[in-house]
Amino acid sequence: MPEKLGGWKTRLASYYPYYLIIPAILYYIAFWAIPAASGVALAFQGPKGFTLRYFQYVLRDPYFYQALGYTFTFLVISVTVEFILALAVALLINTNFKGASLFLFVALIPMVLPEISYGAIWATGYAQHGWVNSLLVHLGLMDPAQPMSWLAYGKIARWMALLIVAEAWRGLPSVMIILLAGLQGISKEYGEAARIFGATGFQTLRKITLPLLKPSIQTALILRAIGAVQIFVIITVIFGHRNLPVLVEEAVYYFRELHQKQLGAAYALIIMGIVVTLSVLYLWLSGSFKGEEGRGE
Amino acid sequence: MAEVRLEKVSKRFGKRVWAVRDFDLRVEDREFLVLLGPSGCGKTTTLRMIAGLERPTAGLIYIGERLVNLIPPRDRDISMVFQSYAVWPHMRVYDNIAFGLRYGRRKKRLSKADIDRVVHEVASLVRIEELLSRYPTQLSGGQRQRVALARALAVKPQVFLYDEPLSNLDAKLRIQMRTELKYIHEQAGSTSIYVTHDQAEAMSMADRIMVMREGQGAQLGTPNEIYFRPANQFVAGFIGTPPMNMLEVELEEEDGGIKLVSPHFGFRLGEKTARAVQESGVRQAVLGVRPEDVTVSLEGGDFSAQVFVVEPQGPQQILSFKLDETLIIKSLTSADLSVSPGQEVWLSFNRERLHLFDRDTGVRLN
Repeated sequence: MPEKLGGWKTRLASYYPYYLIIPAILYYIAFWAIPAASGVALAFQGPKGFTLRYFQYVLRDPYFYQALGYTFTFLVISVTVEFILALAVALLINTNFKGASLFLFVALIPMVLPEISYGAIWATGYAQHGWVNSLLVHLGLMDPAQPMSWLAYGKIARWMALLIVAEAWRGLPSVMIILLAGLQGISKEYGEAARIFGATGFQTLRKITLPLLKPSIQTALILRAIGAVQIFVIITVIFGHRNLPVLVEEAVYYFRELHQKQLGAAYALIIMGIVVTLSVLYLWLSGSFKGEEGRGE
Repeated sequence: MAEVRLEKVSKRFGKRVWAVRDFDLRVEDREFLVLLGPSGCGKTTTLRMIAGLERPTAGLIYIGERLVNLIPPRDRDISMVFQSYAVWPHMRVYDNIAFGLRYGRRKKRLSKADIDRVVHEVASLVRIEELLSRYPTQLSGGQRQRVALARALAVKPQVFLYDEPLSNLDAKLRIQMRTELKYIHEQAGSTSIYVTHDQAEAMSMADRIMVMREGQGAQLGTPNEIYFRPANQFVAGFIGTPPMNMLEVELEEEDGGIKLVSPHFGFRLGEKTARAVQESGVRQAVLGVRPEDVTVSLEGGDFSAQVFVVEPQGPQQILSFKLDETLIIKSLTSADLSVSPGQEVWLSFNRERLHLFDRDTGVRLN
């Protein structure tokens, strides 16, 4: 009987939320769904219709495995380094020492820089007469007559280290802010209880703080891992194009320079596959698939 | 087992705020001592300094014979029950209780079997044995409270510290837990220091109560001393429900005795009280009378007044009388006395239970 009471007006009102999201839907269709769909179509579109040959080509390409190797080496080391440093900084700021808020503000500055600018900052830093060498000379750690050529060609391991340092500088604040927010959400009494019941500072960290911080740690690690898979601009700016080839760079290379659009699209899909896998892993770990019934407070 | 001693302990937050100032306290071995006071009086800060969670700005803290100022909480041989329980949500109840046995350094390492025995022992004492494999989020507030209690009991400390442990429970459960806590205190044979702002809780549990005000001790005494002989106007007003009636009075010499005069009544003080007043030399005072010491009669008394409001309380009732625009006094009488608002009755004060305070300093005169 409720239908009779309202008639067409009620029915119209029940669709009301959908009217409101129409602009957003149109935006997503125009700028996300259509480009994404045409990208997917491109990757499977051979001269005679549907084909998997571009994927076969990518998977047989030795450069693909090189790029995959570099990307994952970078991912594992950089996310680990960033996490440990960020955790230390977050724990420090969470003690609320004098000047903590100023320190937090300064620490967050790298986060707001555009990718190109921080790439440029480090590119100028690593140059032979760059600020990194000047700093080392001023600190008395380097002989001014013999500056280090950081970017000497072909030293891949050193480049990887330089890349990790540069990226950590930018990635650390975002990891730190997630961990800090998590830490501040943990009641101080949990830690105090641990201290009273006999735990040392390190035991409190390992048995109480870190387990309670797990949701934030997962968020930070997965977000940074996804970011690491997509790394590209900073490498190009610091080391030059295709000198330290990573996955995204290969996609761009095939797409723009070799005009092999289908190969570029195939690369892009593979990268997307990796990112989606990581995201699903994140959602699974954070308990999103278990419905409303989560553990912890 | 141990006594706890605080000597001239002070705690300053920031540059100016003194949470506790020159505070002295001696808690006897096996005593149940309650720190009682309104919020912001420094009672929780005092407890946290004893626990080692706050560092005193000045003063010495002893647990037993040991000066503990520089000893970290884990080595002080104490347990604490927190207001929020602070039961760790990521551990099962069993692991919460066992934590202090696994990580505590104060006693020699216990074997797995010993830990298991102690956990079951304390769990049965607080009646949560069937909850040991649950996570705290699956428990009610009262059950979490018991887990916190079991965790504190498991380490068999010299001193138990309680920071308003019952304030998050509903009224009925709170009264039930008072009895259990007192029983557990006696079983454990440890010294207990208990912080609360609930005077009924303090009265019913304490061996002695330290009433605190603005970071300092206002009075230390047994519940009866605090209730029947409050040392000052603050303690008198803080303890008791409904609160003590306070009336400004003048004290006048008359025939070698002392007459108490107010705009509404006047009478001669008893010999003992009069002597105390004469010695003090104070003439402007505040008379304190507890509501149960104000008797209401239809036949006669010290002075007459009109019934203003009647509040039934089951077997008793609270009667209010408006003496003038700002002065209302209350009487706690048996519900058998049938009166109605507007009715004229006679009031008299129980002479044995009068409290006289110096109007300027608030110090007790008699």
